[in-house]
Amino acid sequence: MNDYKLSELISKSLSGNLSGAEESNLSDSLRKTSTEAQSFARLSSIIQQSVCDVASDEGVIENTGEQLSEIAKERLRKSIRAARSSVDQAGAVESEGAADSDGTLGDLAPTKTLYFEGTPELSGSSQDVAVSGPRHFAGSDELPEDSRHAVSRFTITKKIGEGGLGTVWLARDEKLKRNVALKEMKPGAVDSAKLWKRFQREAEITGQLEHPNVVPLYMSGVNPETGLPFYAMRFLGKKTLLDAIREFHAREESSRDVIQLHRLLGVFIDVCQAIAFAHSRGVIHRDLKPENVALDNFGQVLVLDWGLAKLETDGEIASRFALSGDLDDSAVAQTIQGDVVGTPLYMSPEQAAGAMDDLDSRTDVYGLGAILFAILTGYAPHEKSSRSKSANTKVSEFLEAIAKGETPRPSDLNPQVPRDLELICLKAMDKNRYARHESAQELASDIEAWIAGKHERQAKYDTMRMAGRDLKSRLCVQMRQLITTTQFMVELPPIQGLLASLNADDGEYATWRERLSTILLALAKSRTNLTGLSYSQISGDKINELVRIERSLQDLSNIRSLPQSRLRRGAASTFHKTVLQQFPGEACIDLDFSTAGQVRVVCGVPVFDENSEEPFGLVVAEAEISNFVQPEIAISGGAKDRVMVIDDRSQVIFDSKSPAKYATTDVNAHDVVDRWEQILATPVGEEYIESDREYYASGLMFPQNHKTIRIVLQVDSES
Amino acid sequence: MASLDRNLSASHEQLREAALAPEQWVDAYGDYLFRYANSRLHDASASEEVVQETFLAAIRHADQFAGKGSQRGWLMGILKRKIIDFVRSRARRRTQQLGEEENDPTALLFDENGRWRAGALPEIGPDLQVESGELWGVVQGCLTKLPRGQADVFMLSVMEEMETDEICKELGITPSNMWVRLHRARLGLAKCVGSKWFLDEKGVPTSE
Repeated sequence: MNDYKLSELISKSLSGNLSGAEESNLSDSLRKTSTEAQSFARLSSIIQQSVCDVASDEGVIENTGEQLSEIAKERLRKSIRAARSSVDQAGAVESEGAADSDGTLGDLAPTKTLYFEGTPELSGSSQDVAVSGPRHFAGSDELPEDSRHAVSRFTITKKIGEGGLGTVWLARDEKLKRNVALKEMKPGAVDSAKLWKRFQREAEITGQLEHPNVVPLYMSGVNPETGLPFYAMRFLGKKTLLDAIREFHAREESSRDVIQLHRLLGVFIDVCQAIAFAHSRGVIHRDLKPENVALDNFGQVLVLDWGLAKLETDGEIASRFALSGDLDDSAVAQTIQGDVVGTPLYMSPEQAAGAMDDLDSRTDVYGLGAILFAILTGYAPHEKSSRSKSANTKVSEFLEAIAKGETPRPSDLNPQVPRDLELICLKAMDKNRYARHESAQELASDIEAWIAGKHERQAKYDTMRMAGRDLKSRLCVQMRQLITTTQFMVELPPIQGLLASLNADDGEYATWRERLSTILLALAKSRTNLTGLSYSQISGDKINELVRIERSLQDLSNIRSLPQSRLRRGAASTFHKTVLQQFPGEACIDLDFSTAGQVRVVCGVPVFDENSEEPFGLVVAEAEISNFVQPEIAISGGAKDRVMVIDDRSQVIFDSKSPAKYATTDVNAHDVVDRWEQILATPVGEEYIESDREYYASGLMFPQNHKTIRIVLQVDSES
Repeated sequence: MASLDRNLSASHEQLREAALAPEQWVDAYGDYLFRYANSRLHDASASEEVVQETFLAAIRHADQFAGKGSQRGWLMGILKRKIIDFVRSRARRRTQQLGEEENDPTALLFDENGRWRAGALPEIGPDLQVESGELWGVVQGCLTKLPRGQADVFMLSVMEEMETDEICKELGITPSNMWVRLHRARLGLAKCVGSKWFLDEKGVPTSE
């Protein structure tokens, strides 16, 4: 028996499927077999034991920490409510089939065909659709005189949803051979004149809002079998914006692509347009949430459920109702309150506060902002706070929290939310109505602008990053040239000549000084970014300049050798001492602030006395920072962007926007932009790329003293 | 005797009182049922669906809950049935997607002569003791890595303790196919748990 066969026996034995003889045979074989086979037997038995122990252990399952998301719970509650009422409704029919457990959904309606009678034009008052007794027409020859009086035949397929007033069924229009969504009033509500009127009103409002993104109404009428009013509307499918949002956020962070976000934002803009249109007709939706937006895979977007809509008294549609004496909003509002409480997750503060009179188009702007919030974070705005509250928090307390609490921030839930989008969302959801977008249209425009700007910004960023990288490498080259120049200076014969004749008679010293000046002048002339070249003696803590060449910053062609009387004498700086500690030929780079109003990149190389081999002094090449950086910016193509150079202490030492300003006063980078902390914290030499692509930063390190300067490029938003 | 009857009916009363209205089920039982379902199905959206079906079925057959035993237990009974239904329909859908049978990762554990490859499993001494609860999480993680067909058979057989013929009937497979799947599931689990748990214990980095 080989190991594989043996392992099969072990498996069967664990399942209790071996006879006594086989079992003893197995234990014999196990005793003789390899350690792997024994390990497998033990391991499998441990696993089996663990699974058996725990599979039925409620405590362990209880503690796994997994739980249903709030959205899932809400969905479950909904389907329970729907199933409950369908059970109540179907009553006897259901109990008949109750014995089977074939797993069919509880909301499947018994298939039956209903004949509905209705008015194809929706202008009528409730009398038009009142029951006129069931009439079934067998053929067209029996049509009454008014042939526009249509009869449609709908076959109910299944229940797809439920609102406060009615049940929504998926039905088939047998005449036109298409699926429709059919909303029928609940049987319980039919006796209330108020509810009847409201249902009618809902159909009429929906019917009058003719916009590509508002669900179109096909007909309204009365079911002659039950006497219940109904209306049929377009059925797009079961997918809603909520599903799309969940799908988007269920992906791994990394695989969420920009295109998907843009699609969602496209849907959002459509919703804004539908709402803007409704507002223009004086209709306020009042129950905006992702569930009320139906989608398909072909870019169609429909705003559903206008059942809670409010008419503004001076609106176009309201005036039609007023003419028919049918404007009864206050009565509706009372019943509405109960409905709204069902879905507080997207509710505006004024709704939560119960200020029904305060509701206007800006309430819908809040609702749109709340949808945007869900798109950005994957959560409803008040979902987090509802979850953090204990399960038995009263609805009233929760509403109070919405009415009085802080507006939630998208970035608290999803730190990746682009800042600009978050600001748009926060504006739309501002607690104060006056601070929100003026209209749904304005909100849509903001989003459109963001999408457009995003493309533009990305393109700008890409060019800027290239410019930034180029600039960095160019500055590296310049630094290296500065070093080469300094190293070249040390090797010049007059350096040792001056050193040797320092204490000799004036004639010889002056000759050497003259020669060195001539060479250095020629050097400075050939390298236009050099600001100063000097040769100094260091004795003890004192520095004593022997030769200095200076370029005038006002007139770059003006280069001169300073007379003896202007040469620097005084205390040696840390930089000078550091240079003196280097080995022969080694350069040290630093920033020098000693010249008033200037920041200079300085490079020094020590000078050794050839005879004594002791350090004698140093040669230094200096480059004023803007004179050093500016020409490179021009070449690297970064001229369009703002370029800043920042030193170790976070001081801005160069700013292409105002080259002179930072040279004279200490301006801290933190003063310039509030996000410098993140940029400055970037490790040396590593590139910093900001999430919203406004900045690019990179570091240049001076190896000898471990100092760094950082180059930061900012997209010029004004261009 | 009369007092005993009274006691009985009193306790029945209490149980009836403890039974919650369907509207409260989601908050009271939702998470537990979901966890249970997910420990079997390893698929959050499937588990959510199964919980929903459980609630809906329970509403339709509410009259069958006699008030004996807890409501949660009653719902659990329905849930278990729904889990099996789900696995069955999942298995049907999968029959179209072949390749699972041919591509057997556990084959790599043995050489061509059917002998264990050296180091295929960590060495487990006879005296090793493990807390079942501690191992549970590792086993769960490993179950998600098994091919669905194997994990389902293992779940039904070991966790739900179903009989061979029942499993075969539900999944529409032959007993020999079931034994092969169960065996491969055990091999796969032993390999996975072995590398995840026991090597970790010794501080040897695991490699997947």
